[in-house]
Amino acid sequence: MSHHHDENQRDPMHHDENHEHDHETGHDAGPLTPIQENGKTYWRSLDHVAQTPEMQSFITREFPEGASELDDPVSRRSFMSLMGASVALAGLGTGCVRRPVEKIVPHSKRPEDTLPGLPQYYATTFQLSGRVTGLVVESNDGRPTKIEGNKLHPASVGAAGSLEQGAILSLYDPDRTVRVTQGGAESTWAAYDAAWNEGFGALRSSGGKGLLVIHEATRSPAFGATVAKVRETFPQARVVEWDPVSGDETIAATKLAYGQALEPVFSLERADTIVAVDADLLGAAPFHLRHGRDWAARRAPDAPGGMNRLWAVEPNFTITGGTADHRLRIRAGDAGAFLRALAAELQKRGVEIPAGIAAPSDAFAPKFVQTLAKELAGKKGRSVVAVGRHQPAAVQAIGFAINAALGNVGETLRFAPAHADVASPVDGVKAAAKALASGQVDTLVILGGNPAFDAPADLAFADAMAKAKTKIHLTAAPNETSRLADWVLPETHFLEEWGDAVAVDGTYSVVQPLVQPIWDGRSKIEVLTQVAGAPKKGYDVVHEHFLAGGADEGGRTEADWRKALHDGVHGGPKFVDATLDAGAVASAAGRVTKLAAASAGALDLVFLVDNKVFDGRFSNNGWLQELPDSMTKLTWTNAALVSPATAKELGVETNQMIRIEQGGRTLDAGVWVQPGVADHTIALALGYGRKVAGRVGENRGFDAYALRTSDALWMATGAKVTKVPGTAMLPTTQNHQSMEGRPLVREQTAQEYAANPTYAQELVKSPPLLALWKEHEYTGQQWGMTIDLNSCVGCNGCMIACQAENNIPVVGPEQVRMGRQMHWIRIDRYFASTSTDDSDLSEPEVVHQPVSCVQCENAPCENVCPVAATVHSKEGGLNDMIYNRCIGTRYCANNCPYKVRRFNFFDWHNRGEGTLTDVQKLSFNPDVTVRTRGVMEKCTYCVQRINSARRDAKLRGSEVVADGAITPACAQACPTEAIVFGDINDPNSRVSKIKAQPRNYEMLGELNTKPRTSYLARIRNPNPEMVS
Amino acid sequence: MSQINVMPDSALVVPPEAPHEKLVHGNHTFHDVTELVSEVTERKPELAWKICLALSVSVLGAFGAAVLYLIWSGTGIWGLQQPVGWAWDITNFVFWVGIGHAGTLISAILFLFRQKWRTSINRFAEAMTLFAVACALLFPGIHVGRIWMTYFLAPLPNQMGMWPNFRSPLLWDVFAVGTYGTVSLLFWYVGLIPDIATLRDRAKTKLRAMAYGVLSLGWRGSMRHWINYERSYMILAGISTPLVLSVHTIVSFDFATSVIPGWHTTIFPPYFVAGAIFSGFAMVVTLMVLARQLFGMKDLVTLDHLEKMNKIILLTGTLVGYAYAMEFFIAWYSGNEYEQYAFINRALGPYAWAYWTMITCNVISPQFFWFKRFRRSIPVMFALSILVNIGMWFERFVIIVTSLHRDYLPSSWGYFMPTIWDIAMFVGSFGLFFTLFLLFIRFLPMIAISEVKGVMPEASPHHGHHEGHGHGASIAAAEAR
Repeated sequence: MSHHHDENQRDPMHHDENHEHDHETGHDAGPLTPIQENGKTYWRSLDHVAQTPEMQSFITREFPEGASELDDPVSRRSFMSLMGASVALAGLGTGCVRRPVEKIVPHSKRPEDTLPGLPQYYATTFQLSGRVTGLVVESNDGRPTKIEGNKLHPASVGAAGSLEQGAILSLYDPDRTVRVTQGGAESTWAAYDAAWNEGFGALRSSGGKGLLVIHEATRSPAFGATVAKVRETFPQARVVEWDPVSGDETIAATKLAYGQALEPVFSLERADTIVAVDADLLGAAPFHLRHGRDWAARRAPDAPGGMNRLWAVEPNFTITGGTADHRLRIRAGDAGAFLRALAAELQKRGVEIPAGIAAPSDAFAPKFVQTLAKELAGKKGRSVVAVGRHQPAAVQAIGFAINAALGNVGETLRFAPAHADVASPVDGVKAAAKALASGQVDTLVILGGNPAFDAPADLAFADAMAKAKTKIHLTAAPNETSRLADWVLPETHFLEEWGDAVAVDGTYSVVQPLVQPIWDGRSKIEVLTQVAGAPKKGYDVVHEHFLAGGADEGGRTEADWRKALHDGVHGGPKFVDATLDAGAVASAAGRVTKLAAASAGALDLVFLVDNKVFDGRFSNNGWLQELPDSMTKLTWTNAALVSPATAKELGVETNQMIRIEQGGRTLDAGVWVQPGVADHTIALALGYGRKVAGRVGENRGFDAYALRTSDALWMATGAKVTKVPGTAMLPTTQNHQSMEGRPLVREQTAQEYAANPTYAQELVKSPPLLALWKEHEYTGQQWGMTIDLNSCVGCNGCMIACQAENNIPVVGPEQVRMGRQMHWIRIDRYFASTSTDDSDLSEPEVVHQPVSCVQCENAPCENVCPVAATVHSKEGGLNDMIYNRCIGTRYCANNCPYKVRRFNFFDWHNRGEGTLTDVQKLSFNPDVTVRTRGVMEKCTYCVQRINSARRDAKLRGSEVVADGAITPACAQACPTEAIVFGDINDPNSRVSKIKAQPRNYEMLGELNTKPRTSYLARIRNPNPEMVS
Repeated sequence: MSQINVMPDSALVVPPEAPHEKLVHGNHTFHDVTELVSEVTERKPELAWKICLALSVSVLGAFGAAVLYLIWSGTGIWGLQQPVGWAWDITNFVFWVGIGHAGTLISAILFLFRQKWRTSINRFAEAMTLFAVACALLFPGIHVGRIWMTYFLAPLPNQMGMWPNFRSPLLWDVFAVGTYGTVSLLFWYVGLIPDIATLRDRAKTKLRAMAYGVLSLGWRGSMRHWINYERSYMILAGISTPLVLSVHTIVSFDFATSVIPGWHTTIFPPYFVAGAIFSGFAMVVTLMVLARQLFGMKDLVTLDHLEKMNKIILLTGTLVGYAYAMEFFIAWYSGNEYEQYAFINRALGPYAWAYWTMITCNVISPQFFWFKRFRRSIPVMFALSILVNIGMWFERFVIIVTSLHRDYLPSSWGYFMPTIWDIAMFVGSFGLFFTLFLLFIRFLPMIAISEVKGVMPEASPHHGHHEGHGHGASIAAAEAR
């Protein structure tokens, strides 16, 4: 059981000296994209939504009903967490651990080149319902504290999204499963092992009859091999995959179109024209970080190869739609008909669309379709049409056919072999529920997941599950499923386990633990090997499987393994050629027709993957719960999103409670009037309304799974809505959606920019500005930042990065309603109407603007602080905040025009989510002070990173920190590299060169604040034919 | 009777010529005045007073509890938020400081301008000033996040060489209000000394004799005492006069020096001073009307006095109205879109109700005082003075909250709503104010006995035919024993 322990543990540590350099410091200063000039367009004054009586009354009603806290007075949990924490702490030394040989211990003999107090970095991989992202994790004295992207991994390219980064908080979740329980009573792994072995003989003799294993979606080859072993051992057993959000139709689509299970991989950097049809390429899609990077590479107005153009066609307003140059709202069920209409227009323009696919229609904004078709016809091989993975196989197949006809395959669209040939994601769980309901299952093993909560409602999974004789649930935290289980087994967090994963493009990467299991957990692979009859350590399974593989690369060696551990990845993408079966696509396309019209009495339902709690698994994660949704700015809840026109038709307004009825099932939910949603569509995010989730996550929002059936996983039609009494009081971080015509986000079209590139700088005129006090000296290295509004998509990656890096507390929904959220960087989101007759914002444009402290040269906050708790730093010129000097007058926050200062009205860490437990304390970044009650705080440009880099430079004998050696957390996480930091006193630094661009401007610069963070104007690239 | 108790030449207090009008009614003698005023402190407390005190002390107790809870929990118990970092706390502060203006104005400026009618009300108004300043000083003290660190505000020498930030208007406030409070206290106390001596001399119990004996600082009414007294009173009046103007000017700097639209306004200093006098006089009228009724002082505090007060209320109310209008004009004239929005938002935004409450109370209601009938009507002036106080509280609320809740970035706009604790603190501060006030009128002469005597006809050397020069003074001296 413990053969390789020593080596296992030492290897990653041993490698980390190099490793650290790779990942810690680095920001390659890429070639600067030169900038064209031109522009002019003034931001229109917009949004009347905010001025409507509903919005006003919402604002007035928004007042909290007393500040009830989430205090969990008791003590079962506190006791458990305290106990657990002591175990965890002890585990770092000696003592109470399951298998002492597995300990990751502090160094009794310090390995070379490791220093206590200096962080170390390890590569690992995060899998989330089949989305694989390579990561680098910072560890401080054995505690993982911060998740960052792995540059070497194709899905990350150095960036990390909010979910990837937020997942670290779940490691320290005080409500995790901490020990084996049987029937609710404490038990042990030994007791469980004995019980399993007792039943194992019987199972074996029956060939596994009556054994049902349900596991989450996975892209792990080692796990797949173990599943094969289970099938081998128990030919009669059923092993099914159920995952509520990974279940997409893409594999079925490629099998239809290409006769083999494939994964489409987009190369957006090669595309001049990108068409996203119900495809949230920059948000929910796998590879979204990579898509963002590639898209942004062609987004500057004078990017090499020209500026790309993004067309979005979608039912809900996604961040992809928000960044699009043209956007068309369609019903989710009409994506296929839209594609057929587009195909018809392409055909007219000489594109050889296979017969039987095109179906002309003028139901979809003819000008939009025609202009798009004309543009695509001229961009053969330099365009891509991406269809959402949740769209039916036939619809996606039409998309593949269009790409093939445009010659995009092999250029902007390539295919990699699918990890597994999963026929239909829902068939497995349907069969499982059927077997359970009919009493055929004796032993039910559920590895992770939460099917009792998230299985399709028509399967009545919870009831069916009750009929199994022995129900075993391996879970990281107690949930609706584990409540029904006989045995609840603690599962390891991904930072505690060994594993592997294959990205969409076929790149292999390793999951390696950063810390010994804090609680007494086992990984899915480990439990599955036991099911297969031969319990093994996760490390052994993964290691052996790695060495056994790679026949195509001439075998793998131990050295390859070590390198894989160090790099996080092994090998590159594996693309394959595929030939379109036009006939098959055509016959499937023939069945794709436009839906019968929807109406207020028969609405469409669209289910969304939430970018915060995901499928519900992050419900107990305070960072992610409090993260405002990119488009709605809602926190701590989902809502029934409806367009302004539909809201009017239904007679509902924001915060009104409604009852949605769909196929005899009902759900009461709060309404959120969201500009940009398709009319007659209700968009509902999945994963809310958890009943058993822990202290943070229970009863937040509305359980959309209650309406989701196996035949309509992503979209349903014919829903009815009635008003019910009640007000939802949905917490949001932004109450006002309009920029009020103010020159905050400045934007132009590409054509305007070409004509007048300095428009953004010259938009605001002011008389000569004089400072009241003597201005600060400008010597040495002076830090500054630029944020490119042209490439910011509003994905929230920076917000979680900042929260993790700077120990930012969570305040809870009641406090968010009062306007007390603590995010140091926020993303302002404004809507603009696209035409004067769109007064209700049905067809809005949207802009995102990240705002954190801009580190004013003449800072209004510094003058007014009576105790000099916020002052200009001599070195670097930052606007420093001295927490232990602050007495909390809040004068600085009042006088801050950017409103970036955040006040500790309470002891948030001990109030927002209940008392801080010892195990939660482990998650703090030791380089950043945890602020006390009554002090002000704000962005520091990650001063701890600046100081660390400066110290390193000094140790190397240099007074100057090299350009790119400092990357604040927000910039590091940004997938589109919109945030750039550096020395603005050095004309050759990357940030100085960006500031020299004509579209660089200072927000509110006319106040003579001289902000060090400046913005680059957003440039839209509309098709000139659409503008006229 | 061996002491030489002689009333000094009262020229310093009163010009020698006889008053044009009778400032004291009812043909009272000096002795009557002494009796009238002193007796209040000597007789058994009335039931009404006891009930009032019980009520005030209860409210004060609730205030204390609220402050303790505030310190225990944090400023989050209030409705404060981002972007509204100040709301009722600083509103209350400015409100009380404003009320604290009337006393010193009446004592010092009217004194220097030889406005003799001030004598009946100055003691009262000064006491009110002091108690209002005490209430005011509490709020900046408790509104901070870390109350236990407020000593950082003081320029104390320390090993770090760390000084407060002298550029901060909040620090200027500390000095301005502190100075004002100190000088007002001294001024009030100096004026009290001869009257305390009177109480001492009339004391029938040992405790009273000792207490007033200590407080009267050995006052014997000698000529030298009177000369020193008059001089120091004059000097303090001189010192106080600029302070009346400076303290609210500096309070207004808290806002005027900021960059927030609606705060960043050069008109603030005179506008704040006018508003402060306005609210201070209104508060004096409110309290005076009650006290003269309650303690039978109608002859000393006459309708003429009150009418004069009401005229000043009319004047300052109109000044304030002018300032409100001028703010809008400047916002338009500046061409600054943020400034313009701030004022449109005041009048028409979510807090329009507060703005129009302010306008109604502060600008419209004093206009009734154009009519003599209303100026001399006790119910009308009482009602209007209360309206003015409400209006002036709203003025500060409007300035502070409506400017903060929507400033530059619409993404960060918010709406402040008070919590029960905001309300408790505000109401509670009245508990402190009235407790101090009730104790004052019970234990100290609420009307300046010696000064009132100075404006009575008997004090004039030309008074009457049967009394020679100095006769009246000797009576006064006798009474002062």
